Amino acid sequence: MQQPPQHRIDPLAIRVWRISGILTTIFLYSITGGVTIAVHTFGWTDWITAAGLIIATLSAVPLIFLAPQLRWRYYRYEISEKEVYIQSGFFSIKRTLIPMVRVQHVNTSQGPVLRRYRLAELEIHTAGGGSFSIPALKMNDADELRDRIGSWVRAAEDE
Amino acid sequence: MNKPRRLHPSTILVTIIKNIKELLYPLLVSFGISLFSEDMGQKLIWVLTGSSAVLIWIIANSFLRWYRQVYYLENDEFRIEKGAWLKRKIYIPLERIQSVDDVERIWHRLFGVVQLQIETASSESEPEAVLAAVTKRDAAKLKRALFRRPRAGKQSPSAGEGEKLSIENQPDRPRLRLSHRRLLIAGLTSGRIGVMLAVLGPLFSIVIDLIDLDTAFFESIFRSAAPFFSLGGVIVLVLIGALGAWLLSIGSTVILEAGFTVRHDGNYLFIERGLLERRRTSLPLKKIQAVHLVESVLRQPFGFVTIQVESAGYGGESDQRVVCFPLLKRSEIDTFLADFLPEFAPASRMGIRPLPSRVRKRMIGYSLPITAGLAGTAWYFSPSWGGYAFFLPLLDALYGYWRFKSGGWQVEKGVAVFRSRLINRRTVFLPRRAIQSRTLSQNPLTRRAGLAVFQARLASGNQYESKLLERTDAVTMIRETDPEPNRTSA
Repeated sequence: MQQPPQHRIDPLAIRVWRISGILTTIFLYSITGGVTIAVHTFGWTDWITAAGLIIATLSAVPLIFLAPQLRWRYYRYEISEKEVYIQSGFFSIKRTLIPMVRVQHVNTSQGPVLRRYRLAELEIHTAGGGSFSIPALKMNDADELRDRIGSWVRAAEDE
Repeated sequence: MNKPRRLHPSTILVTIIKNIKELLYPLLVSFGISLFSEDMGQKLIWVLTGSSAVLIWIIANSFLRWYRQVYYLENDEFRIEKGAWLKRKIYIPLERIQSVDDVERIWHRLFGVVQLQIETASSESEPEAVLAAVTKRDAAKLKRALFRRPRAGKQSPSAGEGEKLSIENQPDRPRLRLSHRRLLIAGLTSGRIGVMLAVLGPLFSIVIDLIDLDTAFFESIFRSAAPFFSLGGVIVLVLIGALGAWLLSIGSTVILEAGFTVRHDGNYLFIERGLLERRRTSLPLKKIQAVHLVESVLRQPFGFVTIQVESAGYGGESDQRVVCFPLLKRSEIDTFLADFLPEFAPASRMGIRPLPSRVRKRMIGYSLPITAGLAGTAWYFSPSWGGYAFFLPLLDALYGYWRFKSGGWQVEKGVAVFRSRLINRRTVFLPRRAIQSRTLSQNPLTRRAGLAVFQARLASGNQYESKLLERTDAVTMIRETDPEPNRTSA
């Protein structure tokens, strides 16, 4: 707990997060567009459109330019035979310990953007619906790590 | 218990009645509609044939459902097969059972049967298995069979160090019953009054709606009762309403909590309560996720505490918690825990440590900008009365101070303790065997001050966090709640 976890996640994560930030922004703008059409058809006040534009623009800056870098800078992980140690967050920084004996299952997952960069997300689940993620690892590393955690979990439970 | 058994036949009758009750409203409505339509006779005939067909269907279906439902034990599993048309099989491994409840409603008492509910750790709100009616003898036999220790080597991962807890063959098994005096005090301070007002409120609005329906008629009543509607009259009415709600709340507490008894036999905690509807809960001690001491604002001044236990599987109950004992004196808690929840007694005996004093200004000032801003706005828009709005930030600061004074922490023998307040003061005991993940959380401001928050997630799915603590203390808590303290960690 004194030292942060050793490993950083793949730097391509920044690009992945930036792309999803851009997608979110596009989504917000298109909603604003739809609302604008509604405003014109029904003769509502223009304030709604203005508010939509402001929200979409203001959220674009942190979503695309700030959060990805900061998140990457603080995201760290370390996995030992005893436990998984993850640091996450960028304003409020959380260091979480998940003992191997508490891990219920591990899986890797991959959306279209992650696949494009040959990355994968590693998810660690505990009882009671807890889920912790290492969001961007090289595909091979993620698979290898998943199998290694799996065998450590079995070893920890046998003791 | 290895042979498949059926439920008590009274189930058929009850299922029929329940189904008819559900159909009663639509049936009455269609009756009503046919009465007001023109060819009333013919419509009525349709409704009557229709409903008798439905009735026959209900009776046949209820019988079939009873006939097809069996339960038995096999292979260290509790199995239920049911379904009138589609067969459903429910297999519950014995070591996955979190608790067994039996409920005795009024109709159960008529037939001398009970309803058994078996809960596992799943997050679903319904119990995994419900046996609507079994005779008391069968229920006792089944419970004994369900609670037989599963064979060695088939332990669930969450059981872990729970084995150490068992105090086998203890000669005098502790047992505590709520006295009538305490029951009355519990009723007087239950705080259900709010709930009762919420129930009475709609009643009032219904009355008002009725008044709207026939204004002319009620206007005359109003006029004759006009003197009564003076300010004094209204106050009297409100007082009568509040008194009625209070009496109702006492009554409901008595009905729910009468004869509250808690028992302990080494591995299990048995909780029994209720006047009209008896409810018995059996909880394996090692599956208890957390213990809560709740001191409501109405009870804290008199030194009374409610003890709740949290168990995975009580998804339907409030936050997976059940009352373990409704009313104890603060001074009796240590003995109670030692008798019934020994795992938590050492941490309780250590007392609660206060929050670091530099947290005081943070908790007081946390929401001050917002409330002060609100007050400023109110004053800006209405200088005449807006000035009163400055009581808001004052109250906010007092509330923050109150919460700071109420907060605290402790860690002892692998049990972490958080104390905090929203309205009621709540002390939560978290044993390390139930903690799934431990998180240390800091933001730039608290990092500079050397403060941190400890968050713990339980197998029940609930997450608890400390107030701001010294970082070193939070780290100590995290180390002390390590499930395998002997292995080196990061």
